[in-house]
Amino acid sequence: MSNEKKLELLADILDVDIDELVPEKRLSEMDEWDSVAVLSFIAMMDEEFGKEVRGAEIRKLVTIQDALDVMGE
Amino acid sequence: MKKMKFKAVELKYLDEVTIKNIRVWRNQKFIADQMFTQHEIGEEEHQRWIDAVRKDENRHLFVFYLDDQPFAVVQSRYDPQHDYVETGDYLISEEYQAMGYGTILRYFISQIMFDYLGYEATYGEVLGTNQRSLKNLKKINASLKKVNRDIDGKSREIYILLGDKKKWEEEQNSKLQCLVYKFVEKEAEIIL
Repeated sequence: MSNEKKLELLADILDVDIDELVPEKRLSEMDEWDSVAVLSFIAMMDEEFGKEVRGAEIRKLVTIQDALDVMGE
Repeated sequence: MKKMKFKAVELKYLDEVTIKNIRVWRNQKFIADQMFTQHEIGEEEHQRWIDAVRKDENRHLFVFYLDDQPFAVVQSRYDPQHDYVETGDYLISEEYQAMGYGTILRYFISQIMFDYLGYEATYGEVLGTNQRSLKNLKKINASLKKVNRDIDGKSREIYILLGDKKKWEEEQNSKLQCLVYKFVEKEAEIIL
């Protein structure tokens, strides 16, 4: 999947413009990265990538880039 | 993705170990810091509170479980004068924070209060310092009103949270409900 598409998926989950998703931006500094977003991210990972993301992996996500990396290739 | 099974158990069906654990959970700093009552709850005070809930038909206390693991405590008190039920809740472990459990908690509080207990309106109060809860509540379009209140001699910023049954029923096919049920089986066990 292209980086562009991954960013679109993230932007949809966070309900932000794709331009706001700078790779080094910290998730903890985004009000949008909350309980609902986490559930949406986990659901998206299962539906789009067939990957089960556990709590420990979610906790390791610090930046937008980390989220993109988990989304894989 | 394997779905989890949700269960809510009301006080009269809780075992004594769980009832004792409620005090331990409640006294954790990350919870106490976000409560209106911030001193450590002793055994006697806890027992008095449990006895008060047991005796009052307008009060309920639940422990919420996912796959038989407790994850939240919820209390409620119906106010007949205002015809709303006041609720209070917390996740029992810091590990459950920012992991989606708050959203699941919020959803099932509404389901129990409106669908199982039949209340028409809910009321809650959140300290302004509890940014995590407030973020989640704003995201799920909860109705919030900011006020200042004197608590223990200090003026504190409080958010009043209002919910109503009609809005709950209108949202039965909402994005939030669909999201919750991606993680939780539809057949919940509510033990009242």
